[in-house]
Amino acid sequence: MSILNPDSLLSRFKYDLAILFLLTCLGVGAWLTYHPFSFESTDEEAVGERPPSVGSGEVLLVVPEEAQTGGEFDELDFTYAWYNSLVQELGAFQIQSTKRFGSEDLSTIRMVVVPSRSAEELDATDINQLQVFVESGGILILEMPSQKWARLTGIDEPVLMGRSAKRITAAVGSMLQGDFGQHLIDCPMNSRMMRLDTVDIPDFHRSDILLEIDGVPAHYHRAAGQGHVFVVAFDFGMALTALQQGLPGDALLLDPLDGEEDEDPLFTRPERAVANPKMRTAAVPYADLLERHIFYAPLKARPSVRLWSFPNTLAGALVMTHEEGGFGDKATYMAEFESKNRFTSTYFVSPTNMTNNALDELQSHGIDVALGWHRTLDPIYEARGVGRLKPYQSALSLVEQRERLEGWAGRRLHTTRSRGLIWDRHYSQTFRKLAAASIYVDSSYGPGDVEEYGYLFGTGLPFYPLDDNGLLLPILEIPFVLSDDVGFGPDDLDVVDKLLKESRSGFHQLITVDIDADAMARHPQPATLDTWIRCLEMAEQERHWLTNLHEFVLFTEARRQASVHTDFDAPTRTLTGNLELPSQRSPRDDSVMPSPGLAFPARFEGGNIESVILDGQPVEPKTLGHSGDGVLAVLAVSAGTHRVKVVYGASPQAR
Amino acid sequence: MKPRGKAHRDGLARAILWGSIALAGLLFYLDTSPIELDSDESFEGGTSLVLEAVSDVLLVVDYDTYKDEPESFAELDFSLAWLNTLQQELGPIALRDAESLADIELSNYRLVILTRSASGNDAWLPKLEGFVDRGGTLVLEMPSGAIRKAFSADGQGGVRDPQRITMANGLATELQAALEELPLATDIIGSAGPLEGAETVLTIDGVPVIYRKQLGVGWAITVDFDYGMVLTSIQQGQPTDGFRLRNHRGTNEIESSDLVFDESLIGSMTPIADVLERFMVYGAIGEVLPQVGFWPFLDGMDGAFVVSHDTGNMGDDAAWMARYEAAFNGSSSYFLRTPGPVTRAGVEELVHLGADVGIEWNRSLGGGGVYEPIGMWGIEPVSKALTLDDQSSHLRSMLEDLSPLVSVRCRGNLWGRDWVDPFRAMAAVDLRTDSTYAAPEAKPGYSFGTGMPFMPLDKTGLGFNLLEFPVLLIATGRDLELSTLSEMLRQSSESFHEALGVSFAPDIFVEAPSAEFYRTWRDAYRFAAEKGHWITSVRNLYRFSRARHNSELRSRRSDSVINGREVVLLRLESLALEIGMTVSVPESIDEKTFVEARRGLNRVQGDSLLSDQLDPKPVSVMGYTRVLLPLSKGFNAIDVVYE
Repeated sequence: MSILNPDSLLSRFKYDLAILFLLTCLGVGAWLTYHPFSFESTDEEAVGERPPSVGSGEVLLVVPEEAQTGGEFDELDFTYAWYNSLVQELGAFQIQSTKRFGSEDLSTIRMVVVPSRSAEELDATDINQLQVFVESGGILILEMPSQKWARLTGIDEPVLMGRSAKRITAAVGSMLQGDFGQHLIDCPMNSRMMRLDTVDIPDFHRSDILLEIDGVPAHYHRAAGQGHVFVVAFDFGMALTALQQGLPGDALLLDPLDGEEDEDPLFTRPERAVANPKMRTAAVPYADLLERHIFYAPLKARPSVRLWSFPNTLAGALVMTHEEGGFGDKATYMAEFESKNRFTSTYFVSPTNMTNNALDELQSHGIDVALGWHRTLDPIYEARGVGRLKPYQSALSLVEQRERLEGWAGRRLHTTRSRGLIWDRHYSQTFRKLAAASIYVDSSYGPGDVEEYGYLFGTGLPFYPLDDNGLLLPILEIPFVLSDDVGFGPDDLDVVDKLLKESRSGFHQLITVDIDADAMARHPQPATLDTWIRCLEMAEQERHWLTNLHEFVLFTEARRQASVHTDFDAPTRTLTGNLELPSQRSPRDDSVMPSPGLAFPARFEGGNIESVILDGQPVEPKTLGHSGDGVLAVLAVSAGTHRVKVVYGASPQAR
Repeated sequence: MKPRGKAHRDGLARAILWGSIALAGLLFYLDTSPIELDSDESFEGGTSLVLEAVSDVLLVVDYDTYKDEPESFAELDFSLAWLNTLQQELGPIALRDAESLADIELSNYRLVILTRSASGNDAWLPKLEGFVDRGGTLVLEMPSGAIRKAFSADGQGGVRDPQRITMANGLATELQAALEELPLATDIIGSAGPLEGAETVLTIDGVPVIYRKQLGVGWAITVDFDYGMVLTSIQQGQPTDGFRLRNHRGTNEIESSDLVFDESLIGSMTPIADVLERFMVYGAIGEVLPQVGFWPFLDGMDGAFVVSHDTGNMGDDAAWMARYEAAFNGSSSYFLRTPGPVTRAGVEELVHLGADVGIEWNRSLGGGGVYEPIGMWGIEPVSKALTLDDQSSHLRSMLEDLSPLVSVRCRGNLWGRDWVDPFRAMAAVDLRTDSTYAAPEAKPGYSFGTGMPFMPLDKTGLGFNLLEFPVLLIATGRDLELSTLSEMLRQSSESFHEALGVSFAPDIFVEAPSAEFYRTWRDAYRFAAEKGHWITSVRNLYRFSRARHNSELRSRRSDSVINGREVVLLRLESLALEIGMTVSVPESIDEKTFVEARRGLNRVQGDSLLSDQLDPKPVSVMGYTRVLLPLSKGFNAIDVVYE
């Protein structure tokens, strides 16, 4: 049978067959247009890097010269966990590496923090300089120092290193007392510690024991000359990282999701890293309490001025977030309501669902637009082909999604949340991808399983994640504490009320809430909108700054860039602070944002504040704000240069 | 083989090949876009109602005078519209065909109303005269012949087209002003002069159209305009010739809001039909004959907040509103599209939560309709529209023994071009309530002059065995919705005492989400409770209304002396078929005011007669002051004392 043979079937029906072939091709093409071949995308990864030293403070963090990579959690270098703590608790500070450390660094410094690896690297000369520094009135915080620090620590023999520190057993010497002290004791602990019970420290009785872990002194204070040494005998960095960033399993892998059929899945959710089961419904920010315990301690020895974490004397902040979630332009209804009532929020928007007009509308409402990142399990595909025939599609990478949304929004975007909280199983891999895509803020850590709520990661405040090379990834993770996807806690508990009231009365948190814009379309219930509206209305009642993620990060960055220098004259019991607070404009309306308040001890050695003078003008002490734990007094100031003088009354023993 | 034969076979093969391909293509196309065939609905017309109620009130209608096939609205007999007024305000009403009037003992009634259809039979004159002479009150609508001569003005002005109401004696000023604004669809009978000795109660264009005269001990009240026509045109709408409806909005389909009688009613905050009805009952009649009736709402509450939800394409999740309502023992009506996304489990949950499950009639109008595919071997090139009967049968099979299906609403409030065809279809499938009549979304208010349920009339003038429950507000989250609702509730609580029908769509957050809608929805219940309104469903209000209409109530007035004081005693005997029923009596009779009410003589102990003193609740119904007295389910004998 040949087509060239005019009598053959093929020849007689050649035109019919040609048309049939063409129709078949069109049919296959049309079918492929609706069922195209799919190709996944890959995202590049950055690596951790040393954070820049910005701002000017009287606190110095000494960091190791070289990073150290670890393959397991307990092999990681947790030095930069101290960086996170200092950002959260103090605001402005300086960094210096061990190799470049010298006495000239100490000229304007009042407090030096030396994490354990740095303590190992500093040599005898450095230690001598620090001894002089302390004995002249400086404060030194040392983490797990070895025997070579004996002149400062009083420990002149090798100390056994315990591989696990299980629980805090006493905090009598802590500045956190009452309920706060009890919460501190309840803080889940995943760390290691020096077994100080195995050595004989002759003058230990002169030291203040500030914290005990497993019945063993784990944090103590020792006077040295005119200064003070605070020895942190447990791996604070490890403890803090386990709380904030989570606790991975072997090979730094997070556990897979329950019910996962794949034996070795690539993805999970961040809440699989929660350090302790009780944190899944924790209304206590354990990580922040631990930090405050560490950084409140020096205030007992010598008062100083530091920057309050929130504007003026406000008790905390609340950020409302909404995932657009494929809802498209309809999602703006929440922004309309918020704008009408002078609220704001952050929207995580899919890059292909909202129109230009809707994005402009969000911006006109003062809403912070961020990226709802579609990942492998829920990708966004771009169809590819010729004309209307598009037989294959490829998933948009993170960078492509960001650029597409920026194109529609008409401005640079910095913030993401992973849709469905899809997270790489490796401890820091997702953060690496975000950093490589020039994302600076992420908010995917939070409750992901039913009935979870609260501070699953021990804090609501932003922190930089640690990479496995011991350095920080240049992205801030801001955990959320409530999500409509998993409910708002048990029926008999008003979680919104509890979180806001307890933040006001002592925890002082950034409370980030997730209410999806399409929640009422997918699983309608009054609790969703009631919680949304209540959060917004209660925030102001409970003296919380109602802001969005972008605005809060800008505030934090400005705080970080401040300059703080203080002096304390013991005989006159006078604390003096010289500060420069940079001005920052709100992205909402370009107005000048309020500046952080100035925080200083509410009393010193039992004596109350007698007078406060700000820039030459007296301030009535009764008008000062206070931290709920009673440790700090807070004074509102504007941006610019300020001089504050606080005089403490005599201690009751002295009278 | 010869070339010709081969070519022929090739042609045949080619035809079969391409024919098969074309057929396959056509079937594939039709499978995705089937041919839609319409279906014919079943219809059932209105019926000649006769009610054997135990009541003080007798309404007489002469069905023999009804035209078999009126060709226009003006040719209808609207006598049965009186039933709406009387049942709404008083409860049980006896309704008899005029052919049986000769056999009726009129002394069993205190009030007899001869409608226009029945007010012209001269043979009844002696009986009517005797009734009035003995103290009865007779209402005559547009009487003629000897009856007119005996009781009414001369009627020599003939039948005329009126313009406006010009006076309503005794009605509150602002309500009178509202009545005066109302365009009228009716006829009036003019006379050469007013009836001597009569008191004018209502005038139209200056002509007395309601006037009353005492004759002997009784009263004759003449209504010289077609009261039923006015009422029906406002409540049910006035069609054009051929009972067709006009689309006022220039769109393709006619919605229920196109039935609104006059543009002035759209967005009106005054229930003008109820103003007229209450003026008739408590003013024109009530000032000479104290009216006693069952209060329309449960437990003597000030009104009803009748909540309904159209589930649209939302499935079982639509129950979220019912879950909230159940938390405070409220209930609502859910209109489900069927066959649709709500499952049997979803229906069960709604019933368990106390919701009234009704049907959203998905009609083949405006691109809607439910179609059943027809085909074989997996190919369905044709689909047939499901009728209301099909759709309701489907829902009834899901409801089974859970709950009866009585309620319906047309999807999208689409009505169609005929004035009453939807009612005919609903009656044919034994549905008892409809709530398709709705104010336009952007203009809430009493577009149909009332929020109270009413019985619609067929185009024969006969009544359908169902009630229409108008919706006053369809919430969408627009500005001022909550304030409008709040104002309606306040007015209802203080004066109007209405059933406020409100619709909240549970799927609004799917299509047009609105935070304002949510606040309106949440706050509406709170406002309704604060304003003493019964938060309920269409079916619950329907059941209560039916119980009210079927209960028994008789009253007798006498003058007496109690403890040396001259009093008027109003003796009531009632059989209340439901719990939570209340009787409404005047606050004053003959310049004597209410003092107390006692539940009859139940027990005797020694020389004392014991009786329970009832807890009265004063209310003002559009300026007419009344007193509400609670009843027990079952028999109640009550003495009401006026001093």
